[in-house]
Amino acid sequence: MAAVEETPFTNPQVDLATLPNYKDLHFHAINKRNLSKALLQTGIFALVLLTANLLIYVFFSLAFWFTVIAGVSALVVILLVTHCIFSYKAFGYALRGKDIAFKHGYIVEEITLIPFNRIQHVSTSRSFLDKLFTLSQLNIYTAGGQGSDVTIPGLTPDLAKQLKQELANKISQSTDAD
Amino acid sequence: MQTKNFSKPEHQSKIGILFIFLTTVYKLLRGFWVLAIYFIIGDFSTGLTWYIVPASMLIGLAALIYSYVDYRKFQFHINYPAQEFVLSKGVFHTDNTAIPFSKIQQVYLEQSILQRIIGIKSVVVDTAGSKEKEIKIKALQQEKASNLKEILLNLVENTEVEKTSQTEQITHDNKETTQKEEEQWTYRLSIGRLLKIGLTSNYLRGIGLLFFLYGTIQSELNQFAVDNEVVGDASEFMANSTEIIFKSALYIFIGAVLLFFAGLLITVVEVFIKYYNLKLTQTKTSLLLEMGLKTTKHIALKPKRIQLYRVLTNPIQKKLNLYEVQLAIAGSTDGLSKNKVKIPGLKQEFLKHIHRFIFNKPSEKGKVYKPHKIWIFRKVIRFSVLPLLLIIGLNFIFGFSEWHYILLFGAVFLILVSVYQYFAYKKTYLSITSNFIRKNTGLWNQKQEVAEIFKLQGISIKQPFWYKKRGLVNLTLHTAGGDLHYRFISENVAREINYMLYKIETSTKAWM
Repeated sequence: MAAVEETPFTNPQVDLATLPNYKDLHFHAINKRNLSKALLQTGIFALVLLTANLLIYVFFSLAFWFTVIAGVSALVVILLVTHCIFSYKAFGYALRGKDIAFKHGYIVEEITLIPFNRIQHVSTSRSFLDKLFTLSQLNIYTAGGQGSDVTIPGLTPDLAKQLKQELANKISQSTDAD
Repeated sequence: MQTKNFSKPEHQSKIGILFIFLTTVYKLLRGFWVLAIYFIIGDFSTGLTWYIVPASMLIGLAALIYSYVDYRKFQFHINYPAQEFVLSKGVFHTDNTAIPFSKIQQVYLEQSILQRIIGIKSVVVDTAGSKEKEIKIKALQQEKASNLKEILLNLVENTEVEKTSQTEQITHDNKETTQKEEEQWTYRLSIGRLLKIGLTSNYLRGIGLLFFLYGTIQSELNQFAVDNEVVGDASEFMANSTEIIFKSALYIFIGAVLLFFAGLLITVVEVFIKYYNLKLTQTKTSLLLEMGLKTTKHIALKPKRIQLYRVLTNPIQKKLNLYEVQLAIAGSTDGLSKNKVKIPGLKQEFLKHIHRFIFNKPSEKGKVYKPHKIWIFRKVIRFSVLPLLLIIGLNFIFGFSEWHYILLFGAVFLILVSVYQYFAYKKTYLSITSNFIRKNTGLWNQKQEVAEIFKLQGISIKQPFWYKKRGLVNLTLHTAGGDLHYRFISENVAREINYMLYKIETSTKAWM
């Protein structure tokens, strides 16, 4: 490009301390209805467990084993519910001028950072349950294998659409600037 | 020619409903194959059949309705103002995808047997990245399919014009520097070196074979011993047994040696078939690789496409000046079955040539990050827990040895593993320079991986909650040729992460 040749060559040293720090990011929480969705899923599972327990109780006279099975089932449901709450709280996303960050996981917290000029394409998707709770997901695809692809759950459909549009603009901007 | 420009949302061809229906039925059958078999070979006289027939008819009807809805929901068009290809689909789970023209790598047609019978074709829109990410429009009539393909390819080419003008600029720069330094060279792998590679690269296979066959031989011998016991009488057997044990030990030893050499031989033959007549040439714009005994493979590598550069060796190979270079390449459009090219048996001075050619910059010193010391602990646990448990368990079951021997053996084993891992730890580090990231690992199998920072696709930072107290993280750098993982490094690497992001985001060079 001509512009490159005209400007004199400069190569100033980069001061690492003054670069924007990804650790200062304020993550947006996802929509609370995503928690309701997860709890509903757990509820359905709990109902299945309950039916199985009742069937065992009615058809087999195994008093001791029944208490063990029922106890384990209850424990599993309690663990699942806490898991839902914790993982809901762990989800977060943040947009900066040149990249997007996504955070998830509470036992292992993972932050994924994707520069806009490395995004291949963006899509929104909605599962059946998402439609029930008027939610949508934003999927960001890169060329870096599955580890760097990101799915942000629990967005309102409008927001997901808006973000998708925003990212699409950023992608085309970055390719124009190439 | 301009029959259609696909600017308005469109469905697939109507005949496509049949295709969707058949694939849905096929999927259902695959899911409930037990029922299907029962239905086919089942006893038709039982009353159950009278439920199955209407039930499957109902399911068939549901599949038909599903197929129709799927067909209605599947819409695609080209959004000219936004310069993207848009696709929405899904009955229960809906998807809405937009692919910018500039990111489309390839558009091609595909046809399965079923599609051929129905007379439709798939249009596949491929972007950089793994196979699963490509987009397929599965049910278009031939004419429409090729029409869409042509239009999309045209659009992609038109947006590509800006890109190529720029890459020309870059290659032009390259030319200047290469002309200055006269860097064109050719490397041929001699038969002697080929033999050395075969002898030093996969000797573990021989040992693996050995273990496998040792197991079978031993069970054979056990069989033999039992037979003897039944046939011979007790005193005779006692007299014979020492001889038998001695003989069988000798046989096992001879067998082991033979197997070891068999393993070596297999590896040597394999190496000859794969790498015979290997020739690596650098031209002005690319590396040309030729190799193979039966069929000669030709590969042209452009530095721009190379995402990850890897050098492998071991102490023996180092002594013989043998280094293997692996190059990971972006994209699935190369026609390579694996996106990884292996070049074995290189001399050290050629590594420098290749490095300089790929990166066009000398390797530089940078900030070094070492993993936390618990790295050693973790490795020791990983390599010793299973063998120790196995030995203790076997001893417990068979009781073939006294406990203090086992304890002694276990302690020695643990010490050896710890010492090995301690020295392996010393060899493990990550260095981040202004343009590169380098990862060095391995005491015996030594590996160095190098990637250019601006070619990174994304960065992940993982922190299990028990790392927080120590201030550690696991870092993953995603390249288009695979990931680079670093475990147990200090949170201070955040500075470098910020720098890498800065480097990627200010880069205007094409990364592939």
